[in-house]
Amino acid sequence: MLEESLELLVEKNTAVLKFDGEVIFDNSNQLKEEAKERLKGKTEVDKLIIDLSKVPYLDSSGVGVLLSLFKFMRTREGSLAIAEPNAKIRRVFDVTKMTEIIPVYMSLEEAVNQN
Amino acid sequence: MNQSLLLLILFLLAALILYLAAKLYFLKKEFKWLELEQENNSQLLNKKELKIKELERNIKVKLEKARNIHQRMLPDRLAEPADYFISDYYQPAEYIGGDYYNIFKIDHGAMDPFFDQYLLYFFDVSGHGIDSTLLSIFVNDSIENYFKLRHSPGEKISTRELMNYIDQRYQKEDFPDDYLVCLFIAVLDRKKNTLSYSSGGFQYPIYKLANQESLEEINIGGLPISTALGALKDSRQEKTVDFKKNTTLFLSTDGLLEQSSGSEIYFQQLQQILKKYKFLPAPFLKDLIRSDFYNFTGDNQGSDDITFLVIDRPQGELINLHLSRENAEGKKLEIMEFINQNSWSNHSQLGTLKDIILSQLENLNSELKIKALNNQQLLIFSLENSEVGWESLINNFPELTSITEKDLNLAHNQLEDILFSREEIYFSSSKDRIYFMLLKKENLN
Repeated sequence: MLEESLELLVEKNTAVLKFDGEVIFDNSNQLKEEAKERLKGKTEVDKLIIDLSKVPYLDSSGVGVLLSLFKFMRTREGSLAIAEPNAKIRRVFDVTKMTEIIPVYMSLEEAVNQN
Repeated sequence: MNQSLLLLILFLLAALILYLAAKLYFLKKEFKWLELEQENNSQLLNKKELKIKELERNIKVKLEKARNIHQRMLPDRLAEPADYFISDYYQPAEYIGGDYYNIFKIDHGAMDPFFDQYLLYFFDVSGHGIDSTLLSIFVNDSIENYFKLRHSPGEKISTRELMNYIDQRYQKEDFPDDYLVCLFIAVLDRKKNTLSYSSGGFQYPIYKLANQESLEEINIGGLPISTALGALKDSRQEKTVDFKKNTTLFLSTDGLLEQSSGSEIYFQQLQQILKKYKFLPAPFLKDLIRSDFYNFTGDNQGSDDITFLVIDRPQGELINLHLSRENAEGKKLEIMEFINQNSWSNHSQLGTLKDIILSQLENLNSELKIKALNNQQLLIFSLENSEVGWESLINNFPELTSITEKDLNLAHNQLEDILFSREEIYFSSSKDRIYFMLLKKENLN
């Protein structure tokens, strides 16, 4: 069930982590641990893009997952970007000024090219 | 030939019967074994089920305990400046959430006459478990420590510095990097009539309602406190808003505002309510929003804490009296004089309101605080007593109307305005306070 809601695609040094479904208190810890576990084996990855195109909603625990992955990549001296958040999630990023520390792109393609 | 064939058939039949009998024997044995295995499995299953139920019960009990700790941490009462009305509402999530709020008078010691200030804060920590209760304790403890160790009476308070202090302390504790704290801290300055604040993490604004102006949204976003971000010393600036007379502030954590019902979000509906009923004083506006919110959600309890505060600085003549058995007679005259100023209005309910107040002044056994407001639109009395409940008073005056009863109107026709009549006495009660309101005009909205 959890594996279905998380997909990791790696190409060279760039990884795209795709969440499918809400990222909320109920599943946030498992998703965070699973994502980190998969990334641990991919030491060549220094650019992580989180694809939120299939995420309708993030609560504060969901924001916590993104911040935790932001720190994970920073520790690796890598970078994190967000791709395709819906308007509601985009608003969360704008209002909480998270866009100042994590770049947000409207499409995955743009994120891959820019990142 | 026929006999031999018959014998062969008989032999074959006997062999078949023997084979079938043997098969039946083994099948019966296998069935018994399976039955036994099923019984064992079923016993094992029952044991496992019992264990799961016990674990669930255990978790529930622990969460219930944490929820009680969280509830006990919430202030019994909020400090209310003399010329303000403040009302709060808190409904925890199914188990426990991480919302907390408080208002207290800042101690300036001998300099108190020069600094009449109140600290107001609310926060929401991520998650809804025991961890969030521990985080709430940590944030409260940090604020308390700041005033014990960092702030000297008479010293200016910077909400930005206070925020930084909490952030730095949080980083030192090295909380997990997926936890975060959304925090709003403000200083209400009664000398300057301003509210200076710093904030971080909230998705939704707070609202300012001033008499002649439209609803003003005040963004309280910004980066939350998180070990993933590290200490952010210069990120959360201090901002100031005026708090003139006839102003109401509506403050809330995200739980109320992001509650959805179908495709609707309460955030939009709340704005309409605030615009329409901004004439209502804080306790009554709180009751109305509470009713409206539960009409909106229906049976859906929601997964987050619901926390909001209404802070209202009304216009008009205000009196604040502290009554005890010794001074009750003298103060009674003062109160009657205050009520009688309104006798010119020939208000049909003025007599009943007088009876209610007098009933509380007679046989006064404990201290009673009275705050009353008189302006062109309404007359309000607030009675505060921590020792007596208000149930018998409400029962003695069945003509009193609660705004929470108005939810029936809303439920039947959400589009229709709630009409407030000058023929009624409205009341709103909390643990130690009760408010009465008389409208001097019909349909103020």
